[in-house]
Amino acid sequence: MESIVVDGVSKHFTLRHAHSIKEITVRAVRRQSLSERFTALDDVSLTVAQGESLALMGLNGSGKSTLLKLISGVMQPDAGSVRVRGRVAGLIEVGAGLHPDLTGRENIFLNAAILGMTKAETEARYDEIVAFSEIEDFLDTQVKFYSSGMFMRLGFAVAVHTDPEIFLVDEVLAVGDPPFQKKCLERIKEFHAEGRTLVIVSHDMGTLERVCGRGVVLERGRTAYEGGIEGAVDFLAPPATPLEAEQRRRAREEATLAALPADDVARAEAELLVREIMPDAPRLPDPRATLEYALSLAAGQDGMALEFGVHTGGTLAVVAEAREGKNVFGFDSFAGLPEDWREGFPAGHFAVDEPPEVLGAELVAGLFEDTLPGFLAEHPEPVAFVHVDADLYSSARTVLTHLGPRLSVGTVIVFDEFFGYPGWREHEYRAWEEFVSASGVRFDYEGFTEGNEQVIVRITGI
Amino acid sequence: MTVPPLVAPGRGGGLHDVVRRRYLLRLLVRRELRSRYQGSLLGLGWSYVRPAVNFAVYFFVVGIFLKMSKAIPNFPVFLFSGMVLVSFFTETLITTAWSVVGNASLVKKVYLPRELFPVSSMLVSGVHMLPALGVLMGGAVWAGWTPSWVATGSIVLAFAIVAALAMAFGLLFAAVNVFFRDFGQVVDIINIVVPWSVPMIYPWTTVQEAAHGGWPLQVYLANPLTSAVLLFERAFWWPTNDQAATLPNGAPALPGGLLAFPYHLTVRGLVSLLAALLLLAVAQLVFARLQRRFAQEL
Repeated sequence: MESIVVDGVSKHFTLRHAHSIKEITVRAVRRQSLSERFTALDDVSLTVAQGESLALMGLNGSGKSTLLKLISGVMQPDAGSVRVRGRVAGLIEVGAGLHPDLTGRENIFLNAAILGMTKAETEARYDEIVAFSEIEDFLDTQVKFYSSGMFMRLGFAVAVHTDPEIFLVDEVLAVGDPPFQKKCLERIKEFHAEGRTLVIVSHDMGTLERVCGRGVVLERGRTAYEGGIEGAVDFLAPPATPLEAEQRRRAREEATLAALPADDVARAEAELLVREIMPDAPRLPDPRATLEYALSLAAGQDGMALEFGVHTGGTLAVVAEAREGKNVFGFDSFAGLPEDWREGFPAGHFAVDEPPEVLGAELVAGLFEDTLPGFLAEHPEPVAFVHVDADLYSSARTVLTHLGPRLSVGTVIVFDEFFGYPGWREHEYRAWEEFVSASGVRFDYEGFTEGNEQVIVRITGI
Repeated sequence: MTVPPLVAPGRGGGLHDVVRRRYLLRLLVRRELRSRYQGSLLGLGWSYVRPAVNFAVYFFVVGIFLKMSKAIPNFPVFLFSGMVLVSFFTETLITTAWSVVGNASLVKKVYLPRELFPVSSMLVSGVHMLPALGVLMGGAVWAGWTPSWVATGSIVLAFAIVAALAMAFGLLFAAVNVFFRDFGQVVDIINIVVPWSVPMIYPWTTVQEAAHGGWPLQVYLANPLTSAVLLFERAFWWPTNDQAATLPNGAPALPGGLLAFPYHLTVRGLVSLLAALLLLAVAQLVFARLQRRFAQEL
């Protein structure tokens, strides 16, 4: 549903050179022009949908503010039409409605009324306005004694507590100190989240990219660009160097991540890591396929196959089958996680009543640090395959530390929760990174599960 | 939730919009009252002092020195009843003429029904008139005034005429003054003429005699302000007139047998009101057209 419809709008201003009869006569006698026509907007059309956040951009004098004034109704177009749906309010030079002789309190009510609020609405939001403006101590002081910062804050606080369907912002994001600016920006984002329509004029490209979805660039009163905000920013201010373009791309990527929910962020981060460190590794469709592919890589490798974190034995059975029941061992305390892992997996999770029966595999029950050293002493064979399903950093580190000396070229390791969940950098991933840098082991990434958490590595040098 | 329709912003509904936003109007009036007397010792007390001085000057010069008190019994009440109305009119004219220009910062940045500014200026003048009206009432009662239907009706009618007329001129001058600041000066000149163009300092019969009852008299009487002042005098001054006399046909007369008021004063008053309202309608139309260009001209 459209919220603002600007249809073929033009706006001219007449600059009069002569004001008095004397001046007019003198200029007429000298055959000088009496006035000059200046076109501020020339056949501009645009539609803003309900809930959209539109950036109005352009150099000084390009007509942005004029367009904003047409939308707010302060000015009328000379040609074309402007139509809006619902109440329009705006931050167009805050403080316009503040009266120096009135106190802060009186000004709050007056300014709110100017912006279209009723007495009851103002009273209901009064405390919020005062808290936002941070001038509690000066409410009964006349506004003329305020510092310019306080003055701005008061005007802004009232404006952002109105209840418009359409909110116009004109180059005022630069008021106040940084914390206050941040607060204002947050409030504007809230407006957006509440489904209000926003039109923002600013020269601060960073802010516009954070708040707006679409951008319109005006050039001498005409629409020069209309499209996604990033395109609009690049159109108005093309990156000067490839380096700057790259920086911009990165900043946008990060900003996109920051805006996503934590799960999506983690997944996107994993994807970035994949592109960075294993761009050519096979993408496997699900965890089971990853495990089977890893086992196929280890097929020619003689030695033991170990799984850390057996739980109900489902994956251990797969390993046992692939290794034909030879030298397959599963490690687990069966008492669940020894400490809290990620959200939703507190200590004790994954506990089972009794160890499962897994055909072709031998279970070693107990904490890894208690059981692993003795086990390795009794089993001198090389390690061909490891499935690390230990989840926790501490457990993965224990496993890697003890197994390290027994790894050989060709050993395949599958990490079951390597990345892609909130906090992944603190667990198996971290344990592996630390182990690699401490031991100097060389390896290849051999595959990962697309959109999931498993990663396969194969040792290539000790 | 109903979906509001797409409408053109800032087209304005004229004086109707002002009624719709009366809460804001009230705050604007309060703001103007507050700021006018900010830092002044007397505050609203000045609205007693100004008419008092004005009154004293006319009373001594015209009443005593020029002996108008002899021609008009109870001259102070006569003078003051006209003066209350005329001051209200002239003050409204000055303040409304500058009301839009004076609120330029607001007009340029926020869309409000622009009629709010002249209307609030007029209401402020109305508030300033109240103390004087109180004094007039007190003086009249002291001089023996008693309420009557004729008096009440005359007060209401006279006040309606002046309010409509002041608003009409206020809207016109406020709008035109945005484009040509000359009109602020024009208003000052009008205000010099107004007190002398109505029977406030002298009786209307002076004009009648000078014009020998010809067309200049008709022009003089056609001025709605003249009717309003005469109505106020009929309401406040005439009932206190202890030398009240009537002509054989029952019409009120001054000493010397002159008519105190023109014939059919009530009808004249009603016609004046109609004319003032028509003018107000025209002024509103002009204002509505011109206000579209306020923001770019200021």
